[in-house]
Amino acid sequence: VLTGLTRAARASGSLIAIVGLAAAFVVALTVGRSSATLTGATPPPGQDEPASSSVQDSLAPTLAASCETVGSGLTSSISFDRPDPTLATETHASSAVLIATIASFGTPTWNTADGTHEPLTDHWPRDLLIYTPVTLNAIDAALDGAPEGILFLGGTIGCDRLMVEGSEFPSVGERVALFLAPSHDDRAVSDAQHLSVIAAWPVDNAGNVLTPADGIMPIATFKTSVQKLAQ
Amino acid sequence: MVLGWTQLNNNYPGSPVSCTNVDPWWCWRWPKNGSLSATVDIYLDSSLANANIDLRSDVRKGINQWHLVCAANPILNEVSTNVGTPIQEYRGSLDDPSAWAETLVSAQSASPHRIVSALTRFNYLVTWNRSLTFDATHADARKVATHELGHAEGLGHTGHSPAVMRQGATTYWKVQTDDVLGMQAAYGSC
Repeated sequence: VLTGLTRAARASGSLIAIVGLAAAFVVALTVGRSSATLTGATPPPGQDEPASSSVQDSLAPTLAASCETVGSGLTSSISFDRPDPTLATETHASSAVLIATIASFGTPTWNTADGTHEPLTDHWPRDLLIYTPVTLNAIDAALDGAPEGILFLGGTIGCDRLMVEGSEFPSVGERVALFLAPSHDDRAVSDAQHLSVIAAWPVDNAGNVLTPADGIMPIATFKTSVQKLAQ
Repeated sequence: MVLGWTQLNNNYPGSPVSCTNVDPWWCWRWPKNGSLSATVDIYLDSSLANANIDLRSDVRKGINQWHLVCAANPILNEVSTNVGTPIQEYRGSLDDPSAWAETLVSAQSASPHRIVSALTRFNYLVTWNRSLTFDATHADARKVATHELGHAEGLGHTGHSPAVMRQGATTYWKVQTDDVLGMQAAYGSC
């Protein structure tokens, strides 16, 4: 499935790692196998009792009340260790950069061949992911044009959800700068015209891009900088 | 979408969040009565520049660091090894080539959100070192391993420094006070 865009990106040299970014070492931790026994880390009293938090509700995608039954779904979170995301690092990793308004989010799907998967109970398979499509308005391209479809990594399907630390979904109606790259997960897309979001930076009402490491940048400056970096 | 558990360490030190009266996502943890082991699956490609770097010793250093926090904390103390065939794609993360490593932690969606598995992957395009040198394609293997194992323990990133759970370049690789406070918030006193 990684066809046109992937090859184009490879040929342009703009994407280092669609294919060939590999995990040299994979460390998997599991419960119930021999080794350390948990003897001293006793949670405080009441810790195992179901509890609620309004903060939690505001931070994470909502799950149905029925998901409070143990065994009715898993939540996974991906965290990274990486250099600070600068305009240069994100631009070099992207094949398209857009300024756009979030119009809507579509139905999240699994990255399986048919987009479906059985509900999870006690194990999250290694390469299983959830992607959520997004529709944009008022697109202003800083680098290349808008692809046919754009996917956010993460989302909620039933009682299963995937979150990515530091990669919050913007709100509908929010204007953002989106850095997009072809997915190296060839099961995530149904055609080569989909790109996935590697970074989404907010744009304020005054038309400034709020970058995490390069300061507040007017859109015109942002676009010029992206285009120079991409050369 | 925000990953709440980042708040755990972000509130340290100074205004600690207690996990005793709420059970938000940032308090998720391994069950207290389980036992853990680690399997390091190694996929080497002799064509890679860093194929001669054996990260197993760095993973073990990271394990030892978390044992110094609490010998009985819910982290592995054994590394077994499976040598596999090279894999050609780094599936399962953002399509961002600049990440040094990632950890996927899975927990029950239902309270009390007990962790059921953790998976750490090291980007094999990174050239690893043990000199605290960091840039887009170079990183200290000890710091990254200890950091990722902290995620596997259930910790998120912290905005404080020094802390090994601080994302990005650091001038140290060992567990710091902020990291200990995060562990204590999640699991109680050792």
